[in-house]
Amino acid sequence: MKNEFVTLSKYGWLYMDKILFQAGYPVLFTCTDSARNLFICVCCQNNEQGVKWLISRTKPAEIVKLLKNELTIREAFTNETVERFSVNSINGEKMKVVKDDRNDWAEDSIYLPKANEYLDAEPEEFEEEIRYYEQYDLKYTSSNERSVAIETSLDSNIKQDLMGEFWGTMDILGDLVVTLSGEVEILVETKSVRLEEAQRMLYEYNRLFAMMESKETIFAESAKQDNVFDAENEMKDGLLIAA
Amino acid sequence: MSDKDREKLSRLFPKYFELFTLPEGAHEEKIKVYRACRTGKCDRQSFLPTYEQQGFSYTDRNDPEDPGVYSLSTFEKPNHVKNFAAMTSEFHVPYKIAIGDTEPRYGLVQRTKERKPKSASHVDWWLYENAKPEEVFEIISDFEEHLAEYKRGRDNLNEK
Repeated sequence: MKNEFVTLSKYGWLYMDKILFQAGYPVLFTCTDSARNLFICVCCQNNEQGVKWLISRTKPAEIVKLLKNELTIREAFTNETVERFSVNSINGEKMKVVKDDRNDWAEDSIYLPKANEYLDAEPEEFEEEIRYYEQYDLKYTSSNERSVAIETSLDSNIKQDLMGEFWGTMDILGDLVVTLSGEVEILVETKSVRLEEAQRMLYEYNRLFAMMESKETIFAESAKQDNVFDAENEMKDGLLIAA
Repeated sequence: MSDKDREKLSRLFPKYFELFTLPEGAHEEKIKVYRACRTGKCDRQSFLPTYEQQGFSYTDRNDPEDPGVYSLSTFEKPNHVKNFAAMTSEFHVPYKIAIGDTEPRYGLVQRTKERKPKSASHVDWWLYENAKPEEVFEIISDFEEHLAEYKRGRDNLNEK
């Protein structure tokens, strides 16, 4: 299946993200654009007359509610929507996009999902997808809010001592992620890093870390080795002091 | 399946089956499935494989090599067929849902999740040239009650 779905003039290409329901073809799915805006899409017609989709720009929290049976399928398209589109492909012609087609989005439109119908998901049916959408914004550094997590490169040897301070060596890459519940997790990879890259990573880490409400004192030490970042010497430039 | 068997089978399927390769997992099995009926009845028009339903052509989104394009779409679970009906404009409340078995004499089946992990209870049924699946299905008279009973059984099972 092609990854690109359709082009919207304001957003550019929409890419297939997660398929939530399919029947020989994707019926209900999400798409993203290159800025990670999220869209929910339904293929509401697929027959000899043509193919039609409805698309709403939405939020991950709305998709989570849908998957948890807290929102009807129709509401996922009509609540909290920023913008909405119809995509039509009649008789095999190229897809055409229409914004806010009044007929398609009217209360009695046959193209909207039927009212009062939930996905009625079985337990754990969408466990993976729910986790995905709950963490959707965690890898997107567009906000200073606490709940937005930061994904960056970080030394996996950084440890926490009894005083609650981090210390370690800056010579192995890892990813720092802050979850919505406020927990800091470090995903470990073992890979050497060049000095320039380590300096960039530290700068990036501290810059993004500053976006969080709470700050940690970080002391990093490293042995003086070739191509290994010497954190001690860079402390005054790169490291944060606890508030 | 041996090449000889495949060759034998290829003569049973419609000519357009030359356009793709049947998955290795396609086999004979009687599976109780549901089918949403576009016409409201168990007739030929309600039991067309997707490719035929699209007028023997592809949509912009189809992958011509995807075997799912050429099968008859069915679901093992009633809540999934209901989702399909709820999201597709051709169907109206009260939904006309048929129930039946995937008769081996009419074709080969595969649970789609064996090829595509996130396919819920969708079952592909590749029909032979002269298959008449509509003859072995019947419309459920009160689908909502049928669904409610299914959910009661499912919820009881989950509680245990």
